[in-house]
Order: sequence, then structure tokens, then C-alpha cells
Amino acid sequence: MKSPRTYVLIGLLLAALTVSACGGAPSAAAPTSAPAATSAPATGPEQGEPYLLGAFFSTTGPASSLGEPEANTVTMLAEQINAQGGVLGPDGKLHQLEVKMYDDQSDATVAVEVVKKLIDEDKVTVIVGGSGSPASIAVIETVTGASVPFVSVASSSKIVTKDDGSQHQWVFKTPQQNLPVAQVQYEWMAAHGFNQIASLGVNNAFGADSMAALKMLAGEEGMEIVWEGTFEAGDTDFNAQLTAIAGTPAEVLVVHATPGEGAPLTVQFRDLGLEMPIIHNHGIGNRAFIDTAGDAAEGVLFPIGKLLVASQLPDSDPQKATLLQYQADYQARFGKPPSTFGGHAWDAVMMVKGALEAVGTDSAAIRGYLESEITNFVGISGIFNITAQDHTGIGKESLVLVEITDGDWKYVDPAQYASVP
Amino acid sequence: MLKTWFRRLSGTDLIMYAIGVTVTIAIIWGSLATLASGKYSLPQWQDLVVFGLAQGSIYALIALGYTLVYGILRMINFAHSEVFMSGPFTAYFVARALDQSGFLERSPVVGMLIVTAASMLTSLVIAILVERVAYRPLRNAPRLVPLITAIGASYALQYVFRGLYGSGVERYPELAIFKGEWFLAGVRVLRTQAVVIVAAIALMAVLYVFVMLSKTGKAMRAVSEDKDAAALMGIDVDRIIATTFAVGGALAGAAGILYVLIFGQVQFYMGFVPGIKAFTAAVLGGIGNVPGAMVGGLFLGVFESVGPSLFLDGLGIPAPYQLKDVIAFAMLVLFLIFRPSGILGERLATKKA
Repeated sequence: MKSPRTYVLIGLLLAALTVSACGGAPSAAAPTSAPAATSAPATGPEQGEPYLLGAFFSTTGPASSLGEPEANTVTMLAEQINAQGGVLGPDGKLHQLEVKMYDDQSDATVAVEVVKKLIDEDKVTVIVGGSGSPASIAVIETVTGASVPFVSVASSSKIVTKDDGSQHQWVFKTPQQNLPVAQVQYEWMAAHGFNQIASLGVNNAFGADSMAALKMLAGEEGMEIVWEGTFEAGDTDFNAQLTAIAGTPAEVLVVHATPGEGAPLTVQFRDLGLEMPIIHNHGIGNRAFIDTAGDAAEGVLFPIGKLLVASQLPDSDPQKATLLQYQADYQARFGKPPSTFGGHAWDAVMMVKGALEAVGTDSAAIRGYLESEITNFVGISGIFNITAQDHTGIGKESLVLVEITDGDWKYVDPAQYASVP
Repeated sequence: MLKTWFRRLSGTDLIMYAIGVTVTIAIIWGSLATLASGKYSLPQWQDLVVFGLAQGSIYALIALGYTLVYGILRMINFAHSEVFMSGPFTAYFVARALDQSGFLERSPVVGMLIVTAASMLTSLVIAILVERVAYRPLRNAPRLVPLITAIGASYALQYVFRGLYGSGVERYPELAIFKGEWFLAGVRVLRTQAVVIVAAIALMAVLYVFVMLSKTGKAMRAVSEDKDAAALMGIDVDRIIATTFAVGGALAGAAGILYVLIFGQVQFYMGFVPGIKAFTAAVLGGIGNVPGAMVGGLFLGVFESVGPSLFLDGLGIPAPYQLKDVIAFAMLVLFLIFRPSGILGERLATKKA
């Protein structure tokens, strides 16, 4: 009754399914090492053993838009350092920087596995990475148990801060907290004289952390959150929430989202003809937001690190030269502009490089250096001052307010807050 | 009479009735609490209802595809959500090309008709392809087998389109003629919503006339009644089944463009949620029943749009809007338990299933 063809067709379908299910999951076993010692400098200091740097990023999976620029940045920096002969260690010798890099596939469980591998097999003494907050949080226990310092490139305050407010001893991070983002939003609202806010955020760790920060500061800023609501990651329809907001006395809408939902939300906000201004958080700071929201993005405001608008910053900004250099280097090496996420990796690698130069490869000494010697460190995400009480080390001054105008990001001078949007 | 009813009452029945009564009380209680609080004004309720109608008419168009196929083959074509996705995703490239050449700007109506035609044609071809490849060879297999291939075909299509067009979100060009709003007897209707509702109703009317009056429609109904007898009467059953898939596919392609008018963007995963909602709508209306799918779609759209604000808000639930999908699927379960025949439909359990 059934022809052989039937079985062929079923086989084809199954094959297609299998391929799609396994797609983008290459084995995590093979580390991609940065090109090590290819040419020794003819003169200068003696060449020593290479220094190892452990790294893991989400170069595949849902967080790959974060992990890819991060991994690229680490590769690029290692190339730059090694082209100059390497890291000049405290022993007076030049050491090539050998990066052991793994893909955690946007999976916290895989992250723990690769970190164990970095520590036990590759014997690295310092690690950077953890693209997503879940992956970074998952490896805290492993690095603490092994006493290996870890500089995370993810943003949740839980990565460095314990429930009692103290800092995890072996963990540092380079991205801003959510609290300073809310502070900048409030400064802009204060300039307009707004004090009634609607707050709408995505229901996950990112949105909840950001909404909590906004709420926490509302009292002391003299603001009132008159409406608060959430939506699910992946939602496309925000009509019910926006209709509810239209009926409140809110003077401004604060959105906590990434472009996936932030863009359609903004489009529907404009379609419904709501007249209040809309301010997002740093989650929408990439091209995808402008590309998918189109005209609706015009006039949208959000606080973010300075990299997006580096060329527009006043020349007096101490970070400007560093930012422009990174932009130019990244553009030349990869043919596209860098993202804020790559900047977080830049900060992590350069802090570790400083530690390796000062104290060599001893884990405890690197940790000590990171905690006490990172002062006025001019990075991409900000100017870092790390202390035992603050393993992030950057605050509100690392952020600028950006307005989307003519399909591009425009730096807003704090003196002009009252005139935007 | 009442005595026998009591004697027949089992423990399970009691639990079922208790659930039913609890849900009803919760809905009424929540609605009254919300209305008493005065949190929403009349124009807000009107906005929600109009949006629900627009969304519901899209569900209805997709639901027709499920219901037509079920009516004839007694199977759920779970790949229909991907048939829905394939149209607007492919037509996006047509729309982009027309936009870049400036044609869409000059004659937006003709342009949109071309885009819609491209979308309907793509979905139609994909629907026929799915039928030919995944279902026809299994026509006489046990009923579970085509259901499994349907799920396989659904995933296969999703990833084929991801492979073809990429996994990014693409935005349709915006058209000035769809911007703005109209007031109908004091009720605000966005232009896009008006276009969606009118177009959907027109398409449904055309389909109804086609099924009831045309010769092919008559043959479709005959095949639905009894495949073997229809074949004996000289009806080419395979051709009629392929036609049914084609009609369902074309409607899904049109629904895709209406979806784009409201949400503005396409991606490879866009079919899943509307597809499963439309399936719910088809069951609500009574699966296999054409007017039922229309009523079910509109009913689900409005219920889902108004529901969170109306009765969940009043119950003091902290995140009511996220429970929109819970409302839709809870309603599916409740309907299957208490009224498996749907709003307008026939009894699934006895006659056909």
C-alpha cells in the first residue's frame, strides 16, 4: 500500500528536523586560540612563557548578538597586544597573550562546564566573559571555589553583589548597573517637570531589574509611578497595556525592553496616538531597534554608554579618544562598527592586561590588583574606580542620554534635557 | 427526569461543574470589581473591542484553513501556521522592491494589491505542497500518522524559511494611506483596523458564497459528507482536497498581509502563536464549520483583548496583560470540556471524530 517514496519523504522530513534541531550547536570542546608567538621582536626585552587568558562568550544561541562582538573584541585585542611583542610582565620579560576561548552556546549549564575546563585543563589563572547575566551568575560558584578571578561582561547587579549587599570576592563586572540608568531618566524627567510615570517592562531578569531600579529611586526623586505593567518576551501585541496607560494621568512612559519587543511596542504606541514622550532604557541601544521601529523610533530617548555617540561627545570628555580608537580599530578589523557589548569585553581584557603587567599570573595577586588598583581607569563603558565595596566601579557619569533623530543616535547635552524630544 | 440525572452524576462531573461555576463566578466578580473601580473609561473599552475585532478577523481567516481541512480530512493541519507565515514573509521582498522603486509610494493601493497577491500565491503554493508531500501519501494511514507529519512539516517549513530569508525581524515599508484614524458613531477606529476588518469580512463572504454556491464548493461539501460516495459520483477527491488546501492557504496568505498591516513586521517564527490561536478559534466556533470559524475568531479576538483588563485586573492579579494567552487557551480547555461542539458547531465526539 505504501510506496517506497512515502518512506523517502518521511525520511527527508525527519532529516530536516534533525538538522534544524542540531543547527548552531558545534562542539564546545575545541578552543579557538588567538594566534600565539609568530614573530619574536629582534631587540628589547627577553621573550618569556605566554600568559594565558581564559574567555567564554555566547557566540551561538539567542545571546549571540552580544557574544559575537565580545569575542571579536577579545580576539582583536590579543592580536594587537601580541603584535607589540606581548604583555611586559613584572619579571621584565615580554609574554605573548594566549587566549583560550570557548562558546557557552547561550546556555548557563554549558558556561559552567567550559569554565571548569578553563580552570582544570587549560590551567588559566584569570577569566573574562559570560555574555548573558544567567551564564555569569551560574559560574560564580565555580570561580570562587577555584579562587580564580572572573571579570564578567554581563549587567545584572546579582553578578557581583550578594543578597546582603557585599561583593563576591572573585567576581568583577564591566557593564553599568540599572540604577544609574534610572538616575539619568529621572534627571531628564526633572528637567521637564514631570512627576507621574507609567512603567512598562519585559517580564524577565533584565526588565525586572530595571523596573525595580526605577521604582526604588522614585520616592527620593519625588516621582510617582502611577501605572506599572509587564509583557512577555516575544509578545507582539501591546494594545491592552497601551490602552490602559492612555487612561492614566502619566506624563511619560518608561519602557524596559530589548529591540525584539521594544520596537513593535514603540510602533503601536505611535499608532495609538499617545501623546506623552517615551523613554527607553539601554536595552534598545543597537541598530535593530531603529531598523525595525522605523519612523516610530524618531524622538525616542534612552540613556546608554558613550560608545554609540562617541564622535558627538565634547572634546573635553576624557573617554572620547579611547572610544574613537576602539571604534576605528574594530571597524578596520571586522568591517562593521563595534557595539556597546564589545566595549564591555574591551574593558575586561584591558583591566586584566594591567593586572598581568603589574603582578604576573598569580590568581590571588590579580584579584588584589583588580580590587585595589583600578582607579580612574579610562575604559569604553566608563571611568572605573573599583573598590572592595563596589566591584563594578562605574556610575551615572558613564552614561549619556541619546535621542533617535533622522534614523540615527544623537547625543543630548545635559543642559538641553528640557528641550528633547 | 431530574432523578435519573442526579443518579448519573459522578464525582468527576461534580468536580467539572465546580470548576465551571468557579470560573464563571471569578469572571463575573472580576468584571464587576473592574467596572466599579472606574479604572477604564468608555473610549478605552471601545479601543479594546475594536482592536479585538481586528485581531479576531485575522484569527478567523486563519481558522478557516484549519476548519476547511478538518471538514474534509478529519485531521488538524498543524503546518497551517507556517503556511500563514510563508506568505507575508515572501511578500515582504516584493513590498521592499516596490518600495525602493517608488511604486508603492505612487500607487499604494495597486502596490498593496500586488503584495497581497504575492502573499496569497505563496501561501497557496506552500499549502498544496504540504498536502502533496506530507499528507496525500498517508491518506489511508492511521489518523495519528498525518498528525505527526503535520508537526514535522511545520518545523521543516519554519527552518526552511529561516534558512532562506534569515532569522532577523524585517519591517514592512510604512504607507501614509494607512496612517490615521476614523470615527464611526463616536468610536475611534484606526485606519489599519478598519481595512483589516472590512477586508476579512469581504473575504469570508466570498468564501461562504464559493462553498455554498459554486460547483467546486458543492463538491467540497460532498467530499466532506462521504469521500467514497463522492468518488462514486465522479468527483475527483484528490483534486477537491488539493483545492481545499489551496483555498485555506490563500486565505492564510491574505490574513498574513492583514497581520502585517497591524504589526508591521515579519520573521520566521511569526506563524506559531497566531496559528495556535486560530486553531483555538476554530474549535471555539465548532471545528469543521465554516461560519463557526468566523464567529470563533471574532469571539476569541475580542475576549482576549478585553479579558485581561475586564476581569483579571479586577481580581487584583498583578500582571494581567501577560495572561492574555492563558485566557485564550483556558477557554479552549473549557470549551472542549463543556461544549465540545463549539459555539455553532456539531458534536465532535459523536458524529465525526
